Amino acid sequence: MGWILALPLFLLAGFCLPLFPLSIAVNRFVQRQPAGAGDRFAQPRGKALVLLGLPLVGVLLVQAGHWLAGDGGGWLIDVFALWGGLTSLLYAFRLLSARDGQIWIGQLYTSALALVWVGAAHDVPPLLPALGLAASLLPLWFLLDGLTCRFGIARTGLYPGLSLRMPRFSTLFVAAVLAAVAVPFSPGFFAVANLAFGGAASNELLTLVPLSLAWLLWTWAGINLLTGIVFGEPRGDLDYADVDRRTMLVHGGGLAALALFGLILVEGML
Amino acid sequence: MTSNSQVPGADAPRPGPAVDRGADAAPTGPRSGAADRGADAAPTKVRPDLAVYRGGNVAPTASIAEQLGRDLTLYDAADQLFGTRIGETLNELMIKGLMDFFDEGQSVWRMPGRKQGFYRGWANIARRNRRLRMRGLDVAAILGQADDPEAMIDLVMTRLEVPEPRWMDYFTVELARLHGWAGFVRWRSQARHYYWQQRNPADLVEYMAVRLVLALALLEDAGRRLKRDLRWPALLAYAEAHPRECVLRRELNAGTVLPDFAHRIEVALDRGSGAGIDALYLDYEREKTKREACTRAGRVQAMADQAGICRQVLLGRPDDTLHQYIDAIYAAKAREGMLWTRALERTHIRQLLAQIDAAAAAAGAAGGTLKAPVAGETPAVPVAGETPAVLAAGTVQAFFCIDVRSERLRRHLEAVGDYETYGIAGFFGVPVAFVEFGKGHETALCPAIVTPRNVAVEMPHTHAKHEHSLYELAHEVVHDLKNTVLAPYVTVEAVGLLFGFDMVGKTFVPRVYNTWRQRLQSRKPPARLLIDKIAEDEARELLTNLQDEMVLRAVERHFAIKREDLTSPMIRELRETALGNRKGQTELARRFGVEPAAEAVFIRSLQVEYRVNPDQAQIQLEHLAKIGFHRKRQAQLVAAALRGIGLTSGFGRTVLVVGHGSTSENNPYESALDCGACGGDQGLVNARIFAAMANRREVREQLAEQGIAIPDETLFIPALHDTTTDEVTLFDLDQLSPGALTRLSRIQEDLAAAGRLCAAERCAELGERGITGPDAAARRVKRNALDWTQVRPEWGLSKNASFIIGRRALSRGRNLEGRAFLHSYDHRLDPKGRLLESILSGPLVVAQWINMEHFFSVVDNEAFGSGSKVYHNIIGRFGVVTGNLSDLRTGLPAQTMLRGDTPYHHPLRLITVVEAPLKLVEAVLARLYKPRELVHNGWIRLVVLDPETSQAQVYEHGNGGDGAWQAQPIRLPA
Repeated sequence: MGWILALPLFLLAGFCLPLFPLSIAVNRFVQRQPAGAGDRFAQPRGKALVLLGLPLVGVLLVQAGHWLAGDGGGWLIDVFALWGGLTSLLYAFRLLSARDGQIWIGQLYTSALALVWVGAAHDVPPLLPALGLAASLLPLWFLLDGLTCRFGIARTGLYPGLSLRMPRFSTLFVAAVLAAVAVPFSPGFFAVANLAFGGAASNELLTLVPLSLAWLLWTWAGINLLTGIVFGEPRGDLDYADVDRRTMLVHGGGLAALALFGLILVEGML
Repeated sequence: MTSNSQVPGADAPRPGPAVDRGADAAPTGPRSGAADRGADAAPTKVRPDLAVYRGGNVAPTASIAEQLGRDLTLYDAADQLFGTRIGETLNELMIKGLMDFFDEGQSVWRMPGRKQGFYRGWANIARRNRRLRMRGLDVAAILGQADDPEAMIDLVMTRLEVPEPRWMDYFTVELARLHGWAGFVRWRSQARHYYWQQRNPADLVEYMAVRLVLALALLEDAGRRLKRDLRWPALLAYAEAHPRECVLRRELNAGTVLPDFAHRIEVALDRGSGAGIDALYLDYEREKTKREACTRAGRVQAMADQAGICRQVLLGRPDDTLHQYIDAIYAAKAREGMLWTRALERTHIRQLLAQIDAAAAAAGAAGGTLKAPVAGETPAVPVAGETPAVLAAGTVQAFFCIDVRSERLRRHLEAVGDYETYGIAGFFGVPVAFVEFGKGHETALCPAIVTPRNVAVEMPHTHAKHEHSLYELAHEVVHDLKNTVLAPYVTVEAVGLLFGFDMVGKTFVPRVYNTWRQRLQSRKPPARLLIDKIAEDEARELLTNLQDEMVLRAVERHFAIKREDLTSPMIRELRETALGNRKGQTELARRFGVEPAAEAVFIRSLQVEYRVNPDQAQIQLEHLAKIGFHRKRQAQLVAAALRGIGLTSGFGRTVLVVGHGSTSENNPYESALDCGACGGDQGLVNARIFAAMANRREVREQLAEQGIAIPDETLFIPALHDTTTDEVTLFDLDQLSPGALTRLSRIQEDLAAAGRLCAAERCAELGERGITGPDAAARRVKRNALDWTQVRPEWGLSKNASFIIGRRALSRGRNLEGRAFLHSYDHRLDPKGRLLESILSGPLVVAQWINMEHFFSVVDNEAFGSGSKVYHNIIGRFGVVTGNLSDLRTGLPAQTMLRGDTPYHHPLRLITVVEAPLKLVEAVLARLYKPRELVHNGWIRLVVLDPETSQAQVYEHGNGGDGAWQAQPIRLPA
């Protein structure tokens, strides 16, 4: 009967490692505009902290639920794994049509963290994958915020061709998008690999289908994002100003730290 | 392009910094007293109409209602208003259909039913295309309502309720959407002798019908999804009823919206409140106006800075004055392109005339043979052109193509030895269709404006069987394997590594590797050209021999009977039976016991498979009748060419006839580097034919009767100038006497030396580094020619600027930097202007095409050129597209036009310099429609060097098509 105790914990975890429709809350939070200067959690840094903290809470709840459910509650976590896989695919598919930067990153966040359920069902320790997937989005999060500050909105198709007008920013942006969609060797990639290798041993179908399909859709959406912002013919009626050297170093350092975290993740996996 | 319209390049870009803008480069803005209030100086009298501020690529300036049918199709309007992507989808579907239909052998599985024509072939497949149905496109239902393309066009336009007076405009807009493909279809429909057109016919009516069917299906599908009527009256009514909403929608969907307004506009449009949209429109208009004003103020200030006017002075000006400045700047911007073009042209004309003047002065000083020209005096007519009657011993004459790349080689060759060079169109006046040994098709080696009537065939010296080398067989097998469905999976595993070696070799050691690879390939046996006309009995004999050969092959294949077991009467009997000239059992059947049924099958096979039948025999006889030239015709062609360049006496012992071609790897644009006068092919065959004709005793006898006496010891030797490596190779040396061969070693050394000097010049132009001298340059250009990663093996005809029709003395010893077409011409041999007529109506027209192709390709490389060749893919064996799916690319690639971001080619109209009396030139122009239109409508700049008045007359094109000659004095060589 442990599953009855575990169920509320898993449902609560469904807000943190988002499961549709509980994921609506997270997406609303990501897209929320600041109500005023004091609205700290709506500021980019505040949001980033929350987005990084949510999966930790989620992992704790999942672990607790796991413990409560015991051996007889395996079927329950399987149901949640299936739910997580479907949620991930749903958001990955929606990602293809997202043009607004905040919507895009919110949906990728949901799609990525929902996959943690897939690993959790097959005894993959969820902490590092959850952290890896969430942390991979941080550089892009800040760069999209930079775009919003500069142009009033972060959106594809409105100011294409930034590579020709803002080459430094574009370099960072490409690296950030690639890290976000978990290309090798970003932390996201190691996280996905961790989930895949860990889960495939017990259930290949339930593990690899959502993981591989979601990953494919992310990369596709990533290319769409780059095409609408970095590549193309720049508009002549906008003012462009590239990031300065200091900002470049800060963001570059952040990406390097992320790469380092990826290595730690590998170490953790091994 | 038509020559009837006027003034090209009205929007030509500003030339690069290297260009001397000269005194004619008028300023584009105020130069004194101008003041600028800076970026914060929003003008107070800006027009409130939002449309005013949308220039260039930002957004259209007119409303949807005005543009519909004139600039926009219905689906364009739907895309802009409702964010559908019908235009994109339509182009994609259209291109796929076009690629399938027009394929010329590249695809393995070809589109069925192409013989019925484009429309019917496409319609047959579209009716069964489930992918279209899955996308919601009910194409089959539309196609079921009309059978032929004309009826379908009528049906679609009627169904969309487009007013009939607007149809032509609408079709024009449709054709311009994929102008590359539309142009190709138009060319195909006019190329009636083109094999693929005969086989799979297509024309623009069919193209339009297919496009409209798809457009209708897509519009109806979009209308269903949007729950809107997207036909003409409904869209027009909507645009007229909601002008402000339409502006916001267009801004949003065209990607020209102010980014920070995008979300608000989206929300307002979703809510659909008229008042909200109007309020937002006013906000938006105000903001857009403000930002545009800032941009304009910034531009004024930038110009003032460049003019050395300080900000304070600018700010001190009244508002009205500043507005006048701004208006003046923007008004000048519209004419700026043409201004720069004219400035470039004038600068070049001035430099060119200075060079000619200097050449005359230098020649006079060196030889003392020149005298200062006296106005009104006509120089005495020489006995024969510019060549003295007696040449210095050992002087070699050489004919080169008029191509700009010949100028360098001619200059260096004249500098290193005793050479007289002449410029002539690279087909040497011999229009011919050539059938290469081992190839089954004819290649027209002449300018595109000429249709060859004669055929030259290449025949090997020996009758040894031409067998493929092991390497070629392996290559063929791998190629075939790649084209099957399953084999590539295995092939990659089995032989993939070999391709890796191939890649490494071609990339890192291209010279060595390609030399090694060429050794592996079997060489073509030595061959001669069949250029004499075949008599009818000879043709019949040739045909009979061919048929007998076919009979022998068939017998061996069907019955395994060898030649030694057959007699000539048996072969003859079989041939006659197949031709229907006899009936009954054959000796073959009797002797080898072949059953009557098997014999009948064999005869049928001879007729069908081996084409030994009366119809085929007649066709082959007709083809044979085209082979070669009559002796009289040969003499005519040689005489015309020699007179055209002013060489009718004073022949040297050696006359080189130098055709040209290029060498490059992995280059779909290779033909653009070959000879334009030879239809984009190499000029060697024409050179060989011309030399062979001119060497004929019978031809020379006829020429002597016409007053052109070619000495017996004079030898015409064909050669090929490789314009990528500047190597010149002599051909047909096996036909020379040993005595003549001894003269060649020096000539070959001279040619090699001149080639190395050219290579050094070329390397400097290409920006090659680490070139220590001519030898190193020669090695580098050779590598470029063999390097498959090289996107710019040579600059080709880029930077072409002028066309000099006159004696070589005009430009001898002057460095024209490979920018001038040089056609030899001596007006003293042409009192009636007949030779000039042929030059102006042939070579000049081709040179003008080349010049305009370069002009437009550099003015807007993406639109009129073909963009970067790095992304190009060959499709259907006839064209290139960017990526895997795009409009068919036209024009020249960026690598031929641009060096980095700056234009390498200077966009100026062909400056045509004619050395002849002005009256003669005017009389000739009066007789020739095309060249006259080119001059009067401003497509070329004409300069006449009048020896009678010693003046250079520059034709200045007027606005209404009326021009005037502007004279300036010049010295000309006597």
